[in-house]
Amino acid sequence: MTAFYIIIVGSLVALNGAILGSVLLLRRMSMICDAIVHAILPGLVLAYLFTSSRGSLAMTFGAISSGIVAATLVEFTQQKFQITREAAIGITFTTLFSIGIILLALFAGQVELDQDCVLFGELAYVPLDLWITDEGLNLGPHSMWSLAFLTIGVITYVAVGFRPLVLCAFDKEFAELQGIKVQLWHYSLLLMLSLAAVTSFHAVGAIMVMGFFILPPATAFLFVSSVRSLMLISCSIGMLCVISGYFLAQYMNVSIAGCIITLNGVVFFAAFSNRLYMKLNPPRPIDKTI
Amino acid sequence: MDIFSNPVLLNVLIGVILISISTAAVGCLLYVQKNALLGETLAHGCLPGIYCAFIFSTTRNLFWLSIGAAISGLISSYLVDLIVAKSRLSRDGAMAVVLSSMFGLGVVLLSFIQQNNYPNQNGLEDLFFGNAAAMSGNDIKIIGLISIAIWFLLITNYRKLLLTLFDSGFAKFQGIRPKFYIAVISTLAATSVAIGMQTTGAVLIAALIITPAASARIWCSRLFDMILLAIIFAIIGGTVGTLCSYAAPKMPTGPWIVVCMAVLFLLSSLTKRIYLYSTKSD
Amino acid sequence: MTTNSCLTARNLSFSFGETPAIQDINVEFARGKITGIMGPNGSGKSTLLQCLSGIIEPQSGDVLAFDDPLSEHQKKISYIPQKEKIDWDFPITVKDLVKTALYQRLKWYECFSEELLKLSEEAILKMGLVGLENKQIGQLSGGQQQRAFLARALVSNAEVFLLDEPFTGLDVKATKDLIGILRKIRDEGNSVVVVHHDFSNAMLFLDDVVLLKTTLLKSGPANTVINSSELRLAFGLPEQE
Repeated sequence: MTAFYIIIVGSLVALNGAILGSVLLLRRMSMICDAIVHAILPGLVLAYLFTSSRGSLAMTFGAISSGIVAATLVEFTQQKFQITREAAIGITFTTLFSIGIILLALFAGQVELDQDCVLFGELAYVPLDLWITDEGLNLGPHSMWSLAFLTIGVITYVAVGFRPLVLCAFDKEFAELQGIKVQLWHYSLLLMLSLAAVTSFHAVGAIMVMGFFILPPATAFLFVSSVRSLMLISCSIGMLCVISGYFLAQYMNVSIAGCIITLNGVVFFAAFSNRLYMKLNPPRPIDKTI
Repeated sequence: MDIFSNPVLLNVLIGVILISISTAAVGCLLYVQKNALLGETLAHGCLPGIYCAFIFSTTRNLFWLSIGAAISGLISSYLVDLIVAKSRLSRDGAMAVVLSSMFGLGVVLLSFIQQNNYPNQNGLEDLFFGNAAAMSGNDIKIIGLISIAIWFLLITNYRKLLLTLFDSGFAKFQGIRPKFYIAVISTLAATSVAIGMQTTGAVLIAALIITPAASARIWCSRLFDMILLAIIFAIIGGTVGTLCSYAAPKMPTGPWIVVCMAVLFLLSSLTKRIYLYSTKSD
Repeated sequence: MTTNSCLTARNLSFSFGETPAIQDINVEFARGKITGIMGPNGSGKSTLLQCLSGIIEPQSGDVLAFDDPLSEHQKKISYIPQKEKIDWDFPITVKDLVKTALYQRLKWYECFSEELLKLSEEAILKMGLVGLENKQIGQLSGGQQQRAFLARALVSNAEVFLLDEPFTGLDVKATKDLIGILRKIRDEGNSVVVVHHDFSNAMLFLDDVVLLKTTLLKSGPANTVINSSELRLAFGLPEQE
């Protein structure tokens, strides 16, 4: 049963990651994903301090606010202070993350957020945090339910926003001419990202969440030709790596999430090498005259 | 708080200053190369190397760990360039791929180390957030030597690096091989990140690379001036940050340094805007 | 050297992956003249110029400079890229830009001597950029930007000046000024090759024209090529009655 819970939770994280991650990849926002994942920390800490609860709602709200603040700051610093976009991203997320750590340290006595757990999470603990109703019915881990709701939310969001999100990716001016509110979709995407990050971090940790968003879509991107297949193949790769990663981690007795991400990385490089090999050694037509 | 009567603080200050000078200078090169986030990728990329070096040498000797970190960082940088060159993935995507894979690998190695009870492993987790206080006199010597090597490489190759970064075609005509000097920049970056991770940790070292450079670019029209100003900003930010973190107990040093550098960036930008505004209304 | 051509392309071909940019180009660029490389979009003009400069290696064929292999006279060829290819945000001033041409004469520990500083000052004076030496290149006007790069070429003692679409974005006055400078450079005995797209002013300053559309369509004196039927062919215009 433990294995089942872990794999389900992991797969849900992978599913969300693959779908949102595909959109991010197309929009060249992969490094912003890294930034957002780090930047949600101060929001989480502040949410805890203000509400004195580790309740998911407070944390979620804190993370989303933090994510939006980060996104806004990146745009602001880039435009007002005339620095490169990469520099704006770098300065914003490192500063926000540092503020988060300082807040954590300042209120160390009051905060039960375990630094390690927030950042690295541990899939192995997921089955320990079960939702048992008053009647004694075991409904499975909390993470499973929150992730399930998240998945519905993410799929709805991407389905509704498919055209503006994907169209905006290729041509911002054209999208604006079509009447699409480019800014709105940009910020809502980052909001969804923050939401997905905070929901997933209980299980896999804030930083490793990023691996789920980046690696399966990047692997699929190497050889697909449509956005839909990009998403479908990323989801498949993501989930397969969760399952194999779990068993591999059990065998090697190492971090489950770390193993899953590393496996994702190996799959990416295998696919990359394969593409490279195919490019350098294109198949020759069969010589029928022999 | 008397700096000189507290040898640990003095050690940390010296270490922070040495590291900040290297990261600020290299950061300027990466900034003009429009490659500012390479520091972030390198930081995560260094982790597997550090853990491997630890497993092989079973010591926490900074020298071996730095070598492991630098090699791992260089491999990461090379992989990013390879992916960009040979696939449809953009630079943004390639950096994120290498970053997350290496980080995942790092976490696996760390958990492996923790599960197998290697001796001397305390403090390896410090590499994520930095633990400047753990810098020994020996560490400072190593950081000092590596820093001098970095500065020497920078100074002797400055003009060639500038040409490569600005106009690689022209550089070729002058007999410079752009690919080689781009590799030099990556090496310098990987090395500065490798030694800097001790203070600010993997997550925040990117700030030491990006922030001083961005603060300096606002004021300087010449790369040379930009590097000098960035170094000054970095030294100020590093010193004030370290002192702040020692003002209260149990304060991590890295985040304070980052926040101070960010404040300097803000001040630099605002001052420039005020300056522009006042000269316009003349 | 008593040759009549500054650059010669022999059987030059270059492809980007599967798509050929230029194919089997055989043409001589006359010495001491201003030659324009013209043609519709995507005809390989920039690619040809880059092959002539030595920045890219052709996949077949070769380039001669003054009838010798290009590498022997590389130092005499200067190449000024298209505006979009230059990083105008780079922290470099006009003075520094010109001085970069002299870097190869210095060891890393050497500073600029009086003599070398004078050389760069002269080039800046010649290009009419006095007073702008300390401006970052992104702050210059379009015409000034082209002249800054020309100043760099002058300091390198170039004899052949290759410019890729130098008139892009220049207003009427700046265009006139640049034409004047190119004429001055030619009148001093140097050769100029420009990728040019504006037929309305081509006749004003181009001595020769090379018409390109992946292959060489025509080359010769400007008025011959511009009034030729090949030009109409290149741009897909109907035959003149």
